[in-house]
Amino acid sequence: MPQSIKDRIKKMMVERLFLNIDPREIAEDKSLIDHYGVDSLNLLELVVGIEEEFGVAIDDNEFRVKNFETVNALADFVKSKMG
Amino acid sequence: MRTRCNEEQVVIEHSGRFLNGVLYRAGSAAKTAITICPPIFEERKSSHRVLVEFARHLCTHGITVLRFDYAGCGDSQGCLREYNPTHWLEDIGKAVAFVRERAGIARVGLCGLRVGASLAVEAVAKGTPVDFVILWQPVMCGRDYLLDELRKTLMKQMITFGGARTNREALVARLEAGYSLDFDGYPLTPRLYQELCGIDLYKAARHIRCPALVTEISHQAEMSEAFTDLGRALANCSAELQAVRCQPFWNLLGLVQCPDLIVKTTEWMTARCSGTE
Repeated sequence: MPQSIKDRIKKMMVERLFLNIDPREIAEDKSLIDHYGVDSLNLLELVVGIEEEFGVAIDDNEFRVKNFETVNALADFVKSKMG
Repeated sequence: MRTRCNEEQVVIEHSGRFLNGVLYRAGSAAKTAITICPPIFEERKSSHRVLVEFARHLCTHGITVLRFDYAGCGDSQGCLREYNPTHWLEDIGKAVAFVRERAGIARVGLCGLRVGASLAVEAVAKGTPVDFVILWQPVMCGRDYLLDELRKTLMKQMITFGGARTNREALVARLEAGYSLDFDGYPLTPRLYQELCGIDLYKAARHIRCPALVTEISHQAEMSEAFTDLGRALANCSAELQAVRCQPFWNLLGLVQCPDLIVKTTEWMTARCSGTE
């Protein structure tokens, strides 16, 4: 069964950010910045990960907190990019 | 066999520049030395701890090490806005000569991280005499590197203000119009921008003739296509490529442990140093 966008984001987060956690344990509605320690430095890893995983290009004007706030927000953003 | 490590702060003086360095002396039996070429901007600061640990590890394995800062960077004299890669290539050449003379060791190599790795290759391609080069996650294309760095600037704006306040196209236009940018607290002058944009590792790599170790450091244990291509560009030397799964410590705040990277690099070096004069 194909993985959902949210599952793929969570797996990618664990791999790229070296999180010591099972991807299934990542809360989809918790702040990535406040709860998972994502900062401006490792955010680039996340952005590149999304671009590679989903084959999308993130424009500079799309760097809005609302797009990167939570796994849910990221999934909605990715869906909108994939059309 | 482990050897005692003696650390000494040194100043490398040339062309009116005073470069700060630390020499890790592995003792009189040491036959090999290495000069570390650090990255620049915030990556230099973030990678400091790992490079110190690497230097100490090599030293206890009988290899003398010089860590130093380029002119205008780190603890060396001068302001970043006065210097650029042209000066830093000279600094690398002087640092190699310094360690050869001060430590009395003929066989000297370079190990560079990120832009430091690209500068190391460029220095060797332009005639700095070394016996081997080690490249840790080198910057392949200077322009792409700078665009990624500018992206980080936008991400900082996003976290601080809720959204990016500009875009890379506008930032590059300012640089190309002759204005400097504040780059995470570091001045990025138009000259520095132009020279960094000129980094083309694939091109410089074709001139390397000495043994080389290229290490890709990422979340994956497999080699990416970009690094495989670099291996092909290094066809004129006996290059070895390896992928090490490790956090991008040059991009992170706080302490990052990189035992695999340090141990594998040390093994490659000691395999080439043992049993030879």
